[in-house]
Amino acid sequence: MLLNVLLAGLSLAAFYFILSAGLSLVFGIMGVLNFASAGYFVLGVYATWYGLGHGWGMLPALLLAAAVGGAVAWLVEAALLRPLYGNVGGQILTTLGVMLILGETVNWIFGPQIQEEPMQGLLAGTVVLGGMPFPVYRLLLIAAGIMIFLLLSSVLRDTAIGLKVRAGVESQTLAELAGVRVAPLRSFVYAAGGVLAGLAGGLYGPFSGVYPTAGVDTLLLTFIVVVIGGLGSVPGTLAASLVIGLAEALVGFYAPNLALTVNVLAMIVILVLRPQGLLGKPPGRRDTHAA
Amino acid sequence: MSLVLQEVRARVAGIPVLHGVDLSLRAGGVVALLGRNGAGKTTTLRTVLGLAQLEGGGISCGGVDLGRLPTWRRARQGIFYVPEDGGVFQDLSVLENLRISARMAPERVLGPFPELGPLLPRRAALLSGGERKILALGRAFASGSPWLLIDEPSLGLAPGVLRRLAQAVSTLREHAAILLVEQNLGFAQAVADEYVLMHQGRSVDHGPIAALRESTFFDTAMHFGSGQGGS
Repeated sequence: MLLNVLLAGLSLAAFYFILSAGLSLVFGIMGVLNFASAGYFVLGVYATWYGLGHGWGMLPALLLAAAVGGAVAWLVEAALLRPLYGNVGGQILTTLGVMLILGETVNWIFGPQIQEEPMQGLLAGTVVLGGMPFPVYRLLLIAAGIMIFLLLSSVLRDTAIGLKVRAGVESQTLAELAGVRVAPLRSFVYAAGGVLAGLAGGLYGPFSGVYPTAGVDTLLLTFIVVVIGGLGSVPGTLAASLVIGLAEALVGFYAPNLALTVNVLAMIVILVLRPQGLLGKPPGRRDTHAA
Repeated sequence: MSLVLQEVRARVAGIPVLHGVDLSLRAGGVVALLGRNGAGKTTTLRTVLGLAQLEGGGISCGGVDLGRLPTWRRARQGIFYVPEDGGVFQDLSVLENLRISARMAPERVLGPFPELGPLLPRRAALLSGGERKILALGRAFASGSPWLLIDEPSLGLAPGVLRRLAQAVSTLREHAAILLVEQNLGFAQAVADEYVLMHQGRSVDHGPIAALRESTFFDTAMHFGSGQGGS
């Protein structure tokens, strides 16, 4: 039984990581919490539902979700956010507006009812682990989380653009002094955040249902994960996802009504002990070279 | 070919700080920008990079007007800034710090800066103050930039490290022109060949570094009593 609960926690952690990693990087390079992420998420939920409903396999349906999330995020950044750089309040309000518009648009087109994800084949089945049945789909979530972490880590560590992103997250001024043009990096990171949010949405439907407020429902936990992990830190987001996912599964198993309370308490305790989050940089180390 | 500032006026956070700075740094030269705290030396360097708001006058490099260019374009124009704290990326390794602005294989830096060799995989946040300054100068070398703006490299360093730093700056001057802000007169005199004295946001005098103490503005600008000199 405990093995199943732990695996359920790991699958939640994987899901939270995929959803939160993009949000964390977007905050790192733009300095704002991107509410619109919940909008790209819900687009991903419905894109996957559409794909599976038309007989696509899970992988193409997820790729569609990621592409839709990324494309819409790229457009939003280019058309709405780019003119607002330097205006943090304007950016936050804009991302909030985008979240509401996308959610309401989906509601208007597909209606408010919860739709069931048409899962088929192996992914709809279970395997017996520790004497108990465990959904195969949740194992897919864990595998997806590990793959996304390895891919993100590799891009950030081993590629030229990853190096520039990490430099820009640490200090945009120092990055520009090194000749790095930060504006395209922002677009790239924001679109990548949309890809990850869309992908997370695609993975969400099969275990929680397809409905227009799915993005808003996950928003609070996503922010908790990002804040606990340390804004702008991908390894921190992974650590926080593990804390929150495992806590939610364990507490949810023994005391289902306390799951969210425990997550908020975990955030409060961690922020009291480490205001910058688990692996975030201390406030004194933020961009001291800025104009 | 020169980096030229003409009657530069600039603001920081809306407050006028520079009221008229003139200087010319020719290719291969080293100019020490001297003056007491608050004279506007660091602001002068930051204005060249576009980090302070240029309000009037002109800044050009090799005939190219820098005044309206964003910071990253000025950097790509061949101007590299080493701020007082070194300006290294603390979350990146030493090798990554060299790589991000390098116009040459980062390993070539190990010739003039061999002490960086064993430090290459280390995160810059874990370096000592002296190691960080050497890394900052190593980055300047790796950038291949012909114009280096170096702010207070000697600040807070032990005498032994200072000697190594002076050596490193001498290495850099073989490859680039340097505009050096420095409070340590001995250090400035050891590496510079010209000086510009600043006082209350203006450049008030300039000349060969050997004639620095003969300047009629020396005591006023450096705030020393007669016969004294900074260490």
